Amino acid sequence: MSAGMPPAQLSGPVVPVWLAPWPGGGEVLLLPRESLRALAALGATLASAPATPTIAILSHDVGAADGPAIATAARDLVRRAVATTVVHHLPAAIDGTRHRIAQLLVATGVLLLAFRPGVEFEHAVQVAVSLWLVAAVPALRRAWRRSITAVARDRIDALRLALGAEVDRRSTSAMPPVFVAHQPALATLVARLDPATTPRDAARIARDLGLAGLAACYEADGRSPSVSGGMWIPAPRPTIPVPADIASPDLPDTGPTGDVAATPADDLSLAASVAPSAVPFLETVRGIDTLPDTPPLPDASLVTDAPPVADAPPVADAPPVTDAPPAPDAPPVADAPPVADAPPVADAPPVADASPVADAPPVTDAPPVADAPPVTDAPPVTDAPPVTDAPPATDTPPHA
Amino acid sequence: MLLEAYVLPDTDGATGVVFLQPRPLSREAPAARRGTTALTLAVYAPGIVAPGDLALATAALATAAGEGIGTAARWRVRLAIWWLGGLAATAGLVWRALDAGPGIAFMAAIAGFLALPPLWTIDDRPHQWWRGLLAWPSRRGRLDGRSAANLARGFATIETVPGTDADTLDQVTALWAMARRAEGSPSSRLAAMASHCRDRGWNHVGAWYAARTAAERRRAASATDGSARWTTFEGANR
Repeated sequence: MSAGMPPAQLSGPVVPVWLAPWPGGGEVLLLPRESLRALAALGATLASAPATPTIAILSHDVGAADGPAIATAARDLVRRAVATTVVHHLPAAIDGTRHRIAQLLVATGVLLLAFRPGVEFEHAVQVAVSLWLVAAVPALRRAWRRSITAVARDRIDALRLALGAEVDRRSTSAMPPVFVAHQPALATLVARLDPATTPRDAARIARDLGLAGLAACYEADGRSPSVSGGMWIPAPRPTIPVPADIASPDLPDTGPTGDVAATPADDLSLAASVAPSAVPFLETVRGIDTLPDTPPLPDASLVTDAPPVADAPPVADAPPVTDAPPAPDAPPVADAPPVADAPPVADAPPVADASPVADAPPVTDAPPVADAPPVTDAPPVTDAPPVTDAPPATDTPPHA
Repeated sequence: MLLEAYVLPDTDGATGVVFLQPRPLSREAPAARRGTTALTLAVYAPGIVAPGDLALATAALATAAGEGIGTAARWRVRLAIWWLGGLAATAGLVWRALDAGPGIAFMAAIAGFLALPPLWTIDDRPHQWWRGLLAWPSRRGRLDGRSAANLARGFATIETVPGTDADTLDQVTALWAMARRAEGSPSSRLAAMASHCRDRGWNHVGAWYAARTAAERRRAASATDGSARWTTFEGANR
């Protein structure tokens, strides 16, 4: 884990986050309704007795989920969900419904007034009721909201304090621990889904497996990342481990182990800033770009949206590559596969965010792209193609 | 305190149930447990307990405790005063409006009724506020405030572990074997499981199955029955 010690065993209150497959490809981090309910109840618990909650990521593949990027995204998702727990304490929608009914009654009163004007007292009552509904009910609504907000505030503050939302997010001390747990039902679900499965079919399969919380989100079909059925965000790609001595003030914070505790966008920009040769590694991981219309994180960048390498900024201000630490695990150039396996440059991740590299070769020296295979087949860095014009492998991060 | 949760057979698969009443300890148990954490949740399943189920069982317990804590005391007093005053005002309004006819009285009643805050909300349907006004809240699976507060105090150190008690594991395995053999309608199968548990002295699980049977008889099996993989139950005396 990137920050916070991973718990050796499950202890303390738990907020379950599902790392669920998305029909058609990719994965999402998902908080179903039960988890939102647990989070709201946890607020009441924490307000009465402080504790450190653990975020449990339920996944079918523990190895794939056990990464700092996913842990960070799960923490962000839970922090965002804290705001939605207000609905359990402050039913604004309830007040809205009540207000609409009040308006309906006003209309009814007006109609009665129009068609049955008879008794004076009847008039008076109708006017009084109308005034009551128009003026008093909203006032009472505001009073109700104020009162119950005061109740909810303690709980939401307790949640925010426990989940580190009240302090700097990048402060490792404030991050709740993350526990990655295997969930066999998810493995069954993954086995039953195929690329042709529609969200509706996926919802049916999930319901058959007893995963009704996931089914509600599938039925929403990616229309909104936050519905009454739950909240979800696309799962980020695994973060590239970067040695601590590469980090600079311009780079995202790193955890105690040197792993990057960053958002997916940070992953891409950081990797690109380390070395252009890190780009193929990024493209070997599972993609989230096949997700339907689910909006990505505000700061997330997808590979498909990446500008071509030709748009990369000049490389004049970068630190000299010779100062970079040697990479003992970097493969010798002679062992690399032929140039024909090189990935297409046009599909590369956004280099525009990269910090320039002084002695790096110009982009025009990159291997020809004509015979290149698709990006998804690109080998990881350890199998990087031998770019004959490229600098020595000392600038390659030790991914191997 | 030792709490237990079981993965139990249900009509359409498995259901996890966290029993909110602590298991009574034997004479030797307090000495054996001295030095361990204050609150432990042991999870029993017919096979190996997945870590994901441990997490879900803990979350179900935390949900029950948080919802049992309920509303703060100062808000309960405010709510009570509001309701008493509102009901008196509404009654006076309706009494006076009766002179003008039942239609006007009805409008007065509705106006007063709408000014009252809902007593509670239904968690599954927070937008349907009228359900909270018209239905009596179900106490099934809910803790009273004091028990929930006591439970919440132990959450800082709660440990969730796979259950290791051989007798309990044997009970779970025997129940699953019996459930696989059971035939008939869902309610009759649940009743058979309840009977099986009582025969073997597993009264708290038998009580859960009895409640489950009653719920199944009240409403035919609907799609929402299996919505929660893990639920809680404040069982009867063991």
